Amino acid sequence: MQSPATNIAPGIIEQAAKWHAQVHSGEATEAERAEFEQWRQEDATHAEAYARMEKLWSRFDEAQDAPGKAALNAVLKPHRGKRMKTATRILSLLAVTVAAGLASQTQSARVMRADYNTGIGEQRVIQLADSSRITLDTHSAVNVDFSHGQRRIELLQGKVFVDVAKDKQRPFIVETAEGTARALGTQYAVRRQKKATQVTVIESSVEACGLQSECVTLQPGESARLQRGLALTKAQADVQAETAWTRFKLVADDMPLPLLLKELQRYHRGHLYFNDEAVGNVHVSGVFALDDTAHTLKVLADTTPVVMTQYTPWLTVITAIK
Amino acid sequence: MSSANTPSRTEILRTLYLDHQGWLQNWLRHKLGCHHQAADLAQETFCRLLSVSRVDLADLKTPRAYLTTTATRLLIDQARRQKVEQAYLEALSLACEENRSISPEQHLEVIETLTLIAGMLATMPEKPRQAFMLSRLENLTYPEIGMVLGVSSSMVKQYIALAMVHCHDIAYGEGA
Repeated sequence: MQSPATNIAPGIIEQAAKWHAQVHSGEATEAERAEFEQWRQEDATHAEAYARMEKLWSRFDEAQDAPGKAALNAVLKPHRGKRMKTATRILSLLAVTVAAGLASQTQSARVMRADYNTGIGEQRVIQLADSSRITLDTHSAVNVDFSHGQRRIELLQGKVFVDVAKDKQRPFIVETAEGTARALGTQYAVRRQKKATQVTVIESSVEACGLQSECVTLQPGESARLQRGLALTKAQADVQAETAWTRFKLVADDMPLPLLLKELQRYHRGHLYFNDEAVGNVHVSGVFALDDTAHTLKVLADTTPVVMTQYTPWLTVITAIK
Repeated sequence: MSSANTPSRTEILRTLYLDHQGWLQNWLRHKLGCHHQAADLAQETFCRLLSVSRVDLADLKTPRAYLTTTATRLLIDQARRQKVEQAYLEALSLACEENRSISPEQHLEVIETLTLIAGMLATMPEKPRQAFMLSRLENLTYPEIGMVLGVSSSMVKQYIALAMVHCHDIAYGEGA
């Protein structure tokens, strides 16, 4: 079985690997391809070295399906600690911000300097000077302004649940870049999404106003969506489901998996990577724990037709079982 | 057959076997605490020597060190293989709606391949390994991988080339 060309100089193997990576990038230009062909044909060892690359590459075919991945997964991460160390946490926070590209530079600086903010997976209840209470959800930030006889909360990011202490003289206002939600005494939740704000009323009534659009009054069980340049839309809300997060629960009723994963991502340290289309037709119902996302992910992997491959503590790839 | 003029490969192997087989088996028994397993593994270690073409057996300065290294690697491979097989079967039983029937030979081959590539990946540096797996197994593009790992796509390309060199060294060069 010994072929005469068993020994190929390491330099040539490196060249072959570089060419292979280039050709497989899907970005190789015509000129590069021509240059590659020329390289490959100019020497028999070049051709042999490249043939080895292709052979090696195809060996991994076996690992592309779910059982193959599971098998590799089992050996590649032997016994990673159950809880991440602080260093990894910081890393994952960075990774998430980079990967999701959530906030612009100036915005994230504002979030960091906010009066109150929460980390990923963290919630905070804050008692305000007027004895109103606000609950900050994971990865959220607010500024509090009680000067000039007003009560104003600026929600920079994430979700806030407010339990307002009655004060007829000073309306309580939650403000975002998309509008305001104002109440006299009530419970309501405001959520800031990428470019929209969702207001949901639990008790009493709230006046929601878009930036340029008219205001609407919301009753308990109603919600409004504020978005720049769009008319304000009012809808019925499932109050139980909308406020479940304050108990670290997520209520899903026939929820598309991507939506659920996006929600989980807010609580999960580490990036969840998935293709919307590939897992989009998986629907999920149930109550899921938000304070133990690793467990929730495991439950999802066990009960839905998806494979979760954890490459590192901060990267999990979710794919559909073919 | 190679064209050896002085002692042939088989002769060298025989000498190696006679001189060190007993010692190796003893060493393994100490390590494993099981007589049968030690005997099997010693046997397999010598079989492995038969199949490695690149090492010049006549030039071995410290044959015992070489033998223990080889035996240890075999041991690691076995453990890895067991894990691979177990995880594979578990996943298969979960995903088994389209009950695909494969022959025992095919099954063996799949496990063999998976163990081999698991070995390649296990010794790969972290970042190249992630880049490589995301590209090869998840079909992500280089820019996507760059985003996930927080590096540029040209860095991703370098990682993947590095990973391929690593795989090559394991598959083709028997290393030291």
